[in-house]
Amino acid sequence: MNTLDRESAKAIEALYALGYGLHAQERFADAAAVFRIMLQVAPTDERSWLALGECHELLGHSEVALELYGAGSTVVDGAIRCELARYRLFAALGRDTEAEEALEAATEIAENSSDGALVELIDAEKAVRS
Amino acid sequence: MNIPTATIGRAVASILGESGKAVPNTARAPSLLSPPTEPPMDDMAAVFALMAKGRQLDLRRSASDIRHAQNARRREWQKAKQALAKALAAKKKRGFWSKLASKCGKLAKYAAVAAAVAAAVGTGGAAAPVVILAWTGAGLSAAACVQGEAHVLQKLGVSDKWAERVEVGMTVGAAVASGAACGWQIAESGEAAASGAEKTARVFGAVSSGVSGASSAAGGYATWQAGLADGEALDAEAEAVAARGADAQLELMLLQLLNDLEDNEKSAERSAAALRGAMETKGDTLAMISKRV
Repeated sequence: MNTLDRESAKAIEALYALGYGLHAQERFADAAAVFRIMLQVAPTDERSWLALGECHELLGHSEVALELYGAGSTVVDGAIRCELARYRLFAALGRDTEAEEALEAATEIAENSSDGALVELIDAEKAVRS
Repeated sequence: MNIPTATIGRAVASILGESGKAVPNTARAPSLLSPPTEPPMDDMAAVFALMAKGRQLDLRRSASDIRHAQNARRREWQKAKQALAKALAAKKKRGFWSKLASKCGKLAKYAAVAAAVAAAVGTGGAAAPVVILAWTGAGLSAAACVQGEAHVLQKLGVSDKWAERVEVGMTVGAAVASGAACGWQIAESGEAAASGAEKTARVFGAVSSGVSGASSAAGGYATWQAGLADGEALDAEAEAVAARGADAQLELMLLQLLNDLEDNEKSAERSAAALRGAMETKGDTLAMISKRV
């Protein structure tokens, strides 16, 4: 990683922290503004899509959120959290078929990865569901 | 890249707080967002560096856009100039053909009158069809002449277009009738039987018919050319107008780009000031904490 990349990575983390803090304070519109910048700077970071999508979801923009999650799943390989977020939102909207598909996609990602945390994440989600 | 300054200014201190940790949100279901690592002091500088880099890119892009717009504008101006020059040339050409058409038309009319009269004289009261044709020719020709000069048909409510057509029709009709009368007369009576005056009249009539026909044809051609030149002039004028329209649009675009550039500058200055403030605030906070410890 060269100096510029290292600096950029730090800047991305700083942006994420900033947005996350605003999100935690339920200042979703402000957080969305920060995550929008982060998405421009780091579009291959799953957190950018997920965080911006979640802000929109909490602002009541469900369709926008679904688009962002969907885009995140497409752009970022193994974006399991985006798939899970899609699943949750579809389920909340009563779109059960789409919710099921999203959960299946997330399960597949978890199974194909060697990351135990991801499998746990899916299991936890399924436990909540049942 | 524009980081909202108000957001940064308000948020940095509140996110970091005295403990330096983000405030957890317990009001809703667990978020899928992973907690961030605490941004150290130099990360703010990194944000600033990234912003500066983005700003430089934006500036370069804006400058390039402006250059592009200026070049496009120059090209449109060249096009407009060429179109105007073309329109001017077409107008000059139209003027020439128009004058020629007018002269040819007049010559055709006078020649037709002369031919018709000569034919009437030349027949010398011979066969009735010849007389009828000759006088019809003369009448038509004269009417065409009068119409051409006095615009009688227009005064009677006929449109310019149709009056012109009737006029041309009468002129051509007169020439044909006069020529036919001459030819018929020559065939009927024979060259030997004709008197000296009749011979002269016949020759004069034939020549006049020829002149009238040729002048009518030349007049028609000249009118056609004038029409073409008129069309060219109109096309060129339209091109010039279109080019001027494009030029105006480009000018607006250029102004917009300059405005954007100005906004970009102001936004970058505001962001920089806010970040500086945020960094100072954090520095003060850390100083306070260290004093307490």
